[in-house]
Amino acid sequence: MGEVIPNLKLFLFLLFLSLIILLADTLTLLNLPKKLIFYITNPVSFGIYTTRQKLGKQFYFIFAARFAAQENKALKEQVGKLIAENAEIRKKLSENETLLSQEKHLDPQTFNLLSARPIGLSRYLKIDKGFSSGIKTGQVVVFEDNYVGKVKTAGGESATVELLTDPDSKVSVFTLNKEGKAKGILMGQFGTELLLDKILHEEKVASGDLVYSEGMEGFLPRGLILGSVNEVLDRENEIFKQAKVKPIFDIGDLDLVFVILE
Amino acid sequence: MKKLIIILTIAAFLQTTVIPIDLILLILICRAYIKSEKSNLYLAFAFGLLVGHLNLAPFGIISLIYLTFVAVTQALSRLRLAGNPLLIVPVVFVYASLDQLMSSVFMHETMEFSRIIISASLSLPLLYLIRLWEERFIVQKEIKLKYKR
Repeated sequence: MGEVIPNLKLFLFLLFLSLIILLADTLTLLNLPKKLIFYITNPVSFGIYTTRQKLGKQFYFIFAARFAAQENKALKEQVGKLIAENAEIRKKLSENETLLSQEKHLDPQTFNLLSARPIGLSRYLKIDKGFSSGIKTGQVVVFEDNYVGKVKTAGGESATVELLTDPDSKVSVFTLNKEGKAKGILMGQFGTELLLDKILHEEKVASGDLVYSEGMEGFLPRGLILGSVNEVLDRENEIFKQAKVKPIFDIGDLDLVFVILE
Repeated sequence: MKKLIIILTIAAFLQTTVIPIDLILLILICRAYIKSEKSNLYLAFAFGLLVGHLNLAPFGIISLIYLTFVAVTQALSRLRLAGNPLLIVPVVFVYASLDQLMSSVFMHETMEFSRIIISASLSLPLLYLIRLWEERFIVQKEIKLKYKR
């Protein structure tokens, strides 16, 4: 047996000793020495434990920072998507409101209106509908009761609109106030102002009067608002009176315009 | 030996506070597998008492377990099969399982199979580490040859 298990005597002795200690502990004879040993071991264990906690916190900070960075990136993407979605919803809401408002001003049963979005503005206004949607050259573009311009060229999926302020634009108009009516021709000027020309001296026109379309061009319905009189230029030596007219709204602010197809 | 005692003391505190693996048992088994010495039994007895105390286990029970495992390992190390260092893996696996089983019986602890796997996988690198330590860094006693004229 001694050859199979080396140091058998020592092994048996220590085994026996362990059993005696176990028995003594079971009989609570070792409480005092155990208590004394705890005075030494407890601070050491506590020190190791707190060191581990501190180290753990340091490592946790690294993991947390990494996790926070990933989460931040994901949230930014989410916010970006939500902003885009929100913008799309707002745009659609605005378009719907505009459509409803337009129906109040021009009866859809009388006028066949096609909504179009402005997609560019320089000399001409560019809209996102073209001849594939039924747009033809010369058709009128309106917003509510206001005249915006007429279609100058129509591409497949876009068209350009000649604005009222364009120097090539000439429209027969009339103004209306309590004292009477004045007729003239509204011409575009370079810039944002319009010039109302060929007004007879005896006709009454005053600052603030609204300017309406006469409808003599054929393509243009009568009664659309083109602007308001800003200043009357009444010179005795001239055959006709003139008036400066300013548009009611800024074209650049429009989200949606309407093309009168028929 | 002093260095080994310091390492074992640190390991005892670590295994009872931070690392949930029986490091003392692992080191003692690996050492007993390499060297069959009396000191292994003394260490098993002493550190069994310390680990038992730190684990709040009945005093002496872990000494009994460690002593038995070390003695059996020393016996196994004499076998020819022990020449293959890979044998340490199943040996540690069996010991760790028995250790867990006894802990569950005497200390009412739930058995954790993951600890057994980790102990078994750590045994081989630890064996090589201790072998390196014992062969390269422990000064051996001078061998004196006696001859008769």
